[in-house]
Amino acid sequence: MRGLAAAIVTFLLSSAHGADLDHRAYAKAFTGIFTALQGADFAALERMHEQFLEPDARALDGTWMVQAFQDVFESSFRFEAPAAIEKRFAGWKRLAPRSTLRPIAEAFAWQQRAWVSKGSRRYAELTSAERRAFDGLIARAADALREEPAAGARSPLWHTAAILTAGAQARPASDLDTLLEEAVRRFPAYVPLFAARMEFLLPEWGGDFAAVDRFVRTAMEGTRALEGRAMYAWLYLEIARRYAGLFDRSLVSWPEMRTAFEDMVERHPDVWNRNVYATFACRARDAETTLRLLGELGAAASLGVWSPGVSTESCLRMVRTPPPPSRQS
Amino acid sequence: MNLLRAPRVVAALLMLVVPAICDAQWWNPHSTIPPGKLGMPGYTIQYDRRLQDQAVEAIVEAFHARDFAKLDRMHAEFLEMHRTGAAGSSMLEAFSTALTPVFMGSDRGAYQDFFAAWREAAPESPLRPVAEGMSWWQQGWDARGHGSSSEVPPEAMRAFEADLGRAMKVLRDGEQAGRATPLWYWAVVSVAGSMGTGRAVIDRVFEEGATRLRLFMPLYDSRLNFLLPQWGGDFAAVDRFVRAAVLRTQATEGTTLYASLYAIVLERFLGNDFFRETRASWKLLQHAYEEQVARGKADLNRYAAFACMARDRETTADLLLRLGDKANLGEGLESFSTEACAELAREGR
Repeated sequence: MRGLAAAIVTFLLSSAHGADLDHRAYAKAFTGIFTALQGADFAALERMHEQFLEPDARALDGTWMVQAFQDVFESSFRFEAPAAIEKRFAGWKRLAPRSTLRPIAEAFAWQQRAWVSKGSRRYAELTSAERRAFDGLIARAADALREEPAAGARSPLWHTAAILTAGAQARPASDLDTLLEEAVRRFPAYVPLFAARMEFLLPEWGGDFAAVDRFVRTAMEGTRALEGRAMYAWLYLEIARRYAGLFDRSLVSWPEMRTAFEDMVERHPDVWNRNVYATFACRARDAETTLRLLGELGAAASLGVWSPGVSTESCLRMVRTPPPPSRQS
Repeated sequence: MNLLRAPRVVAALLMLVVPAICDAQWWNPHSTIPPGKLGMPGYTIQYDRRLQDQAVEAIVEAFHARDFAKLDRMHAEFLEMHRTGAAGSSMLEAFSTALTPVFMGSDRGAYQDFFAAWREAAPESPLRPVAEGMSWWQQGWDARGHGSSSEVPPEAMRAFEADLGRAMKVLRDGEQAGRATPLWYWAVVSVAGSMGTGRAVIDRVFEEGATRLRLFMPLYDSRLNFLLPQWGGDFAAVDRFVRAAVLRTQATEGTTLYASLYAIVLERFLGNDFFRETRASWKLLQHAYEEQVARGKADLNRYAAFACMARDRETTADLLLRLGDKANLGEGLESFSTEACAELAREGR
């Protein structure tokens, strides 16, 4: 079993390096998808989806290129006029009736509209009109996914959308866990799947940070053969990325995060990851690690992602005047 | 932003009165008006949102090209339109829009040689101190980040305070020339507010700018911003400010500022129930919006969003009908959807 895991790790490493896709390639993919969606170039979207479903379509920082679709879908439909969204999908359906991507895109779109209707409030705090809007939109997302269940066999996007939809429908935790297990069997270590399940363990959904922490550790153990302990960092980074204020309230441990980052940069040594690592080392006021990473990064240092008030400059100042050691753990 | 659309005859008359406007598109590479044709039938300038965006682009490019002569000339032209209240008087706002992104994320001190050369070549430029002050202001915010002050590391906060101090010094040093433009007052209020300067000091600067010069919305926007609860203010102070602004501008603007200013409050509102938590009155807002509609400058989506928040089903339904496919009530708002408002409107049937 360990030999198999090692072989998979070797494959992932070699394919990632072979693909020569650094974090900028992901940004380029995002732009390409965004532009194709805005320009209603559905053929290009389908082509890119097929291309990014390849097992080696992974950026050097470990991000799966197919994830760019989720990021585009989640950011595109949030502020668009509903009539424009309807028109876009009608056109897509007419031009590519057998598309497996279009129902997935719809599922993300209606979910985004539902989140907008809900805002940061709990479901119980919504007015009756807001609840009807939320429920109706989530039901549309579920319908879209049912339209193309076979897509799940090929695209992790379908599973991510399915977990998010089921969670929004307040399905029992065991259902969500089953959906995650099914998805992970096909797409092990695909971070957005775990992030989608983790969403419904957050306080906003009646969960708490202890449950989040247990989930992160279980996910880390489950993916250890492939990613070492990197999943710990990826999932806590997801909280920092999506919910800035929640990261510092969570049960994240810097020593464990540091170990997770070490595993991450060993497997995915992209400069992006090393900058993220240095940013969070600085945030934890771990002067020694920050200084080492700044030295390794040299001119490529660009600290500050998902971290207000953190910049290369402020971290250089921090390492010159390290705080008392008690704050470093 | 909605701009007044000048009829062609007014534009033609203006060109006789203000010859500089005949050449008003020299800065715009996107202009479709051939040289020498401006003012002829079919070749008038439409001062709309698109043109203002093009001006922002031209200003940003001029900064990147370090072309202060172009910047000063554009500013002089826009300032003149603003001063006379001519069509295009809102074009000056392009500078306040451009001055944030142009410096965002730029290398520290990247523009200092440029500002030194500008100061030497054009010591009387009213724009230079504004731009230089805002470059320090932006640098400070880049260092600090936009989290709450409790999240900001101490070294970042120190850098922020030092940069804002530099920004204020540059603005004060350039006060004599700067006071000619409402941009200077806007910049001083923005910097002073960020520094946490006392209300009385900021009010004095705002009052002088608002009294001496014509209505310049970014100045009102900036002053209003620092009265919000997230800046230590409260909604009672916001309401007093809005009502005073309406009284000050009523002769030319009617009550429309009530809608314009509360629309700004809504964009930055962090609570859950706008009409319960702020002092905004739906009746007054509706009146102000109807006045904007009559003047042809209402944002119907924002009007509908307010109607929906006030749970005025009839007005929401009416506005949704008028908006049709263009209904996008949550545009520019974090958590607000057309769908929920459509449900509300249905409840009323």
